[in-house]
Amino acid sequence: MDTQQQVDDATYRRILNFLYDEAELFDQHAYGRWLERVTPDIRYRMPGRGFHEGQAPTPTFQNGYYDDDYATLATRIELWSRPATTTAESPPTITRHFVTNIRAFDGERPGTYRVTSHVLVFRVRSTQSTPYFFSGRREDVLRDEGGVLRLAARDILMDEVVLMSPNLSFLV
Amino acid sequence: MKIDDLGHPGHLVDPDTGLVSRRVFTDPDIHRLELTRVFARSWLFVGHDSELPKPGDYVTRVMGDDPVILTRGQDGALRVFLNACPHRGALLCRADSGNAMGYVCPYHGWSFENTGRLAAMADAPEAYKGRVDLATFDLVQARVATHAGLIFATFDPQAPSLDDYLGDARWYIDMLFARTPGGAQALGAPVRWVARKNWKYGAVNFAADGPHALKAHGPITRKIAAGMPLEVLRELAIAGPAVRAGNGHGCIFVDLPPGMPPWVGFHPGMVELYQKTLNPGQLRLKANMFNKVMTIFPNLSWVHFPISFAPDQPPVNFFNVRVWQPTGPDRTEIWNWFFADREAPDEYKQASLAAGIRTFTAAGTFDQDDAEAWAAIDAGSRGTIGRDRMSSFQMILASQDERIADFPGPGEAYRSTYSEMSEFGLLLRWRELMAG
Repeated sequence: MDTQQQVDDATYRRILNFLYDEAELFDQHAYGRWLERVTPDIRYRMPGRGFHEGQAPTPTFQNGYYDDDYATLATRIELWSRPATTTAESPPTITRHFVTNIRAFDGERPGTYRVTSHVLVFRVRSTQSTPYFFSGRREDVLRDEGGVLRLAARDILMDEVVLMSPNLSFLV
Repeated sequence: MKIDDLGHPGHLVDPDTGLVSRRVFTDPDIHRLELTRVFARSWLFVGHDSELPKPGDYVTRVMGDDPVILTRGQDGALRVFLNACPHRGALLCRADSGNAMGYVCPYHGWSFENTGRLAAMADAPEAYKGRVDLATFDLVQARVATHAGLIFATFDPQAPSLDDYLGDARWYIDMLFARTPGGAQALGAPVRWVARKNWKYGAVNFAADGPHALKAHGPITRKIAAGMPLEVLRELAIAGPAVRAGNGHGCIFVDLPPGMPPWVGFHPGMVELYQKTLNPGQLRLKANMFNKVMTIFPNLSWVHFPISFAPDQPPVNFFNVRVWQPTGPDRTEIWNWFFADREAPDEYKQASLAAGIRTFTAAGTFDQDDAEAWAAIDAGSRGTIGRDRMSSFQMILASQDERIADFPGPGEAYRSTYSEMSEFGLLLRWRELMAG
């Protein structure tokens, strides 16, 4: 935790709008427009989770589901954008992102913010009418670039140990 | 179980025509029977040596549908126990991993050494008044054996030795898991997700299915292989050998795309170690083949190839290892690891792990499409009419006479991954075991 200094109300409002706009873009599958709101040096990660008896050792290597940079996110988004280049998202799956428990603090450097939020994604795939819920906590770094907020880092702490979905072809 | 009600297993998989009843992939009775006749009689992968570095380390795993504990004792020996108290059957370990000299049952507090011996019964010994042999309360222990750091176990006292079980597959295992003096290591703990399909679709797919690569993975393969045209990808897959390595084990190889140099994606320092460790035939395949995919019967698979997501990033090999854990006729829990050579620098291991996570996990750019294809197969195959249709592996009819005479590896190598030969080999072994 960089600092415990909560951001001022006006900044909180900007951050709230950023996260809500982002959720809207996700649910519209407007990933290309979402990509315009991330920094070129973004790290986007979702490690796996497990139960460990006693103090879990700090792993040198963290296995998981996402460990992306800008190029890999751009690749995913390009593939999802056309039915001919995706099986998982053709037809597009239905998602609804619910974002809550948003807390925002001043970051390490001026113009950066550390933002935590809880996210619940309701999702339906064409081959399975039973909905799937993804639940997790996001730790973000947002950066103000010339008056525009951009996502610079996102670590997603998922709440499932065994993921109850055959795939995760969406962003959180 | 009355197998005759379903048709004898010999009729479910027809060796002569390459046709397989879709009941093999959907029927609950067949699934119950395969847990007994296939899983309970096979050597099953439970973990890797590198996951248990210290005495007392344990991981909980599954063999068929039975929970087990894999642990390393103070004596260094690896042991596998049924994860169930001999008294009333409660799980003894309820975590995924940990370190313990022994286990305590959560119900009555009976405790066990990590050698499997009953240590203490709380107040119980007096209750038996000497009329019960307390040695019958030791943990149920499986046979354990390793090859190239891979740990296998079976509860079947009649099973052959692991060496005989793996047979010719050892040559191909060593190409990946014993290619340096230090061998391989798991990068972190496995992650797990549930796929809506029969376990055999995954095992067969990795045994392996050449033709699906073009439809399911063509677009992403073009992205990671510098815009390689789909026609070139198809030609490479058609030209790649498919190997039946015996006992249902199978693998395929795909040549390097034009313009990619030998040893693409490997760390140069590791290549020097491979050249000291492997034999010429293994080196030839390793240097010049792009894609290496294998299933060890029944449900251990791996895939290994180089990728780059950006033109300015050199390709890096990832090394994915997974188990298709059966959790029902239409459910599979996928246990997913990434591996690397122990001697590789940490930066290379990190890059290789990231490359793997980006391709072969539930979110992976390859797996996410397979998952939907398999879900579609399951949905299309389980109806009243549909489950009595046959799945076709009839490419074997065109390919079974197409052996490669001078293939460097053991087993039977066939000319093409478009032959369904190695995939069907797995189902033929399944048929043998299911016949009882």
